[in-house]
Amino acid sequence: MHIPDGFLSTGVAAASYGVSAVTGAIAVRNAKKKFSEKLIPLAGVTAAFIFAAQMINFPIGFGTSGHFLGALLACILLGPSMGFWIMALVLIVQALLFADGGITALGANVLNMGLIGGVVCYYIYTAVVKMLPKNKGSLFVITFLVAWFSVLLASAVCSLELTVSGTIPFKLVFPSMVGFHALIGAGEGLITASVISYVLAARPDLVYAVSDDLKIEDMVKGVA
Amino acid sequence: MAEKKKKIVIVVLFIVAIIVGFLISPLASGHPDGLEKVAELLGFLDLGEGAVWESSPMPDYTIFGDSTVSGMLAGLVGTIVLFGLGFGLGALLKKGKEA
Repeated sequence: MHIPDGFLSTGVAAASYGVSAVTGAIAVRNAKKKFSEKLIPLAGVTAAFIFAAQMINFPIGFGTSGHFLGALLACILLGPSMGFWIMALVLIVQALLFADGGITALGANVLNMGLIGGVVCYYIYTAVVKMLPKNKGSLFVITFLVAWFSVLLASAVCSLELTVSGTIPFKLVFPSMVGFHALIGAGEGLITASVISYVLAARPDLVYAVSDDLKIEDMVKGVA
Repeated sequence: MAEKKKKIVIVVLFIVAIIVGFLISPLASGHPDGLEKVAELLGFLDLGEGAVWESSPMPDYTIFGDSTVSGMLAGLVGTIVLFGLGFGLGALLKKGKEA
């Protein structure tokens, strides 16, 4: 759902740049307090993985395709601050080097996918994980569902931006955006839950969320 | 042992990223994505026409013209660039030594 140049009004584009910039500044401050040195190589491979996986558009029917976002994945692995920045980095490179997503729309794309799909959904994820039973199966299901929801939520905010821009009425754009992304989100859920399960089983200490008072390491104990 | 296992996870994810970005990328669906399709159906796709920044070095994930190899190389370049940038940013933003 990379918004190209031309879809947003100047006001919406500027306001979303503002929100993304403030989020970015807060994320820098928080990362410098919390981002562990041992996660540095993981930050590199997460950025590479998200970029590569985003290239793979999969068909969802109706002559339409979708691709992975990776924002929630980045936030679970690296924490919301570094996760936000990894997402921003992917989107900046896509806009500047590959003409995927507009330059004027970059603020909105970072807001939708980094802040909404990533940071906001990370806090939803941690809240849900704390409430539900601690076992491997439920972790997979929670990760799948929140990742699915993250795509929906990002597409809903994108619809809102298009509406406020005067591009298209909300009652037209919202159902179609959310409808398509409800299908696309299934891919997001599957990839996110699979990668998180793999890394948790192999090296739970490499997962930021494990250190975030969630006790999710208890959920994978007894796997080996 | 722990150090070795940690490296395995990083190496596995890196290899998967390279395989996906380089080898699997030509198999990606050419259909419009969700937003593009909605724009097409609701008739506002043309707003984005002409607004695209044409001087991008690898437009539409191709490095030199529209061929499979060109797309694969663009995928490889992007994947490696993002590994470097992600690693660099991680090193830049890491927290100070714990007391």
